[in-house]
Amino acid sequence: MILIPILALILGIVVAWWVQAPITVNASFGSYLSVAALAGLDTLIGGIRSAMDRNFDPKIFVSGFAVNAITASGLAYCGDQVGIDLFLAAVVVLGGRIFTNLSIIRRHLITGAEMKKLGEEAPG
Amino acid sequence: MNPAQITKTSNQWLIPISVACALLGVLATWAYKIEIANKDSGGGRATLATQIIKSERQFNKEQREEIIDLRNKLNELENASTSKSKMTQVLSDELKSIKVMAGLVDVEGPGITVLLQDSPHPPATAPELRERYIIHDNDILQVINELHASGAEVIAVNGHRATSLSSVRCVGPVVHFDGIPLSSPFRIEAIGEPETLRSAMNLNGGVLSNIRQLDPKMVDVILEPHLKIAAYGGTTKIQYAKPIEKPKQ
Repeated sequence: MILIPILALILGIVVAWWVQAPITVNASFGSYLSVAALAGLDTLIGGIRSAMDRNFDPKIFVSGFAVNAITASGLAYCGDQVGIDLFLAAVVVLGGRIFTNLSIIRRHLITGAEMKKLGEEAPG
Repeated sequence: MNPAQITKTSNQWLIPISVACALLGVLATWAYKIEIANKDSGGGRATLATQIIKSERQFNKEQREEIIDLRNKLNELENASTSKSKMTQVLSDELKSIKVMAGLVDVEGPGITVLLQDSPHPPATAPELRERYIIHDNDILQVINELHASGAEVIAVNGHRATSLSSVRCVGPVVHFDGIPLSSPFRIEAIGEPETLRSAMNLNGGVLSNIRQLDPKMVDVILEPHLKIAAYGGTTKIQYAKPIEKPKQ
């Protein structure tokens, strides 16, 4: 079951590799897309974490994905207009959250594996 | 934990997360592709600029060689036409001294060399103070001016002959002398009465005393019993100035 998201990721990469980006290549557009991708990654890892915490809500996840991506790239765009590197704010916050959520996921995986191990050893 | 509960929660997150994964893949790949395309175009521009600079340099070199070649031919023709009569002899001598003044012939004679270089150990103070520990276009201009004032007949900066049309200008980190980029150390050679020139350079409160106060290593004045200075290598085209013909009486 864990294979399905990974396959979806690969599918997305393959599709995007063959399909041209909808907007013509522009120096700043690439950076907005990168920030949006970072926001997406943050929401994705947040979603995995909440799934492990067993309080995953599809509505929160989907709205978070859209709003985070749009806000992050919008912030980067506004920053470019007024000459402030506002995208740094998004990068710092999202990057920090990715690490926080990853550490929680790691704890879940490690404690889960240990409990499973104990459970298997008990009958034997 | 009952299995049904696990399947239920699993199903709930599986589809949104899979879709998000696919979207993330698309976004990240596009960002990557755009970044690569931008890098390529930037690199292309730099390569093009380098090629242009290279070809222009080659062109400049060829032109300079041509100038030297043509000047040599002119000298030969002049030498051939002289030694005919007293009249042409006088004219030829006059032409020679004018050519020395104009910087069109190689010359030799006694003089001095003034070495100016950026301080090798500037103090680690504020940047605006450190500015004073490097040689500026103004220092070179003042030295040339002082040498001329003290009777120097021929001056060259790093081997480039100073003429009546020479310019010294600061361009970013280098100094342009007649449009030729030069950097520290600067070697200013002057032909003239060596002792006069040296005392002019060592004058208390003179052009070099300020620099010497900061760091004596930045300045060196050397007596030269025998200096050789090459001819001016640039173009001598005069477009606007025309000599005024005296009316015949």
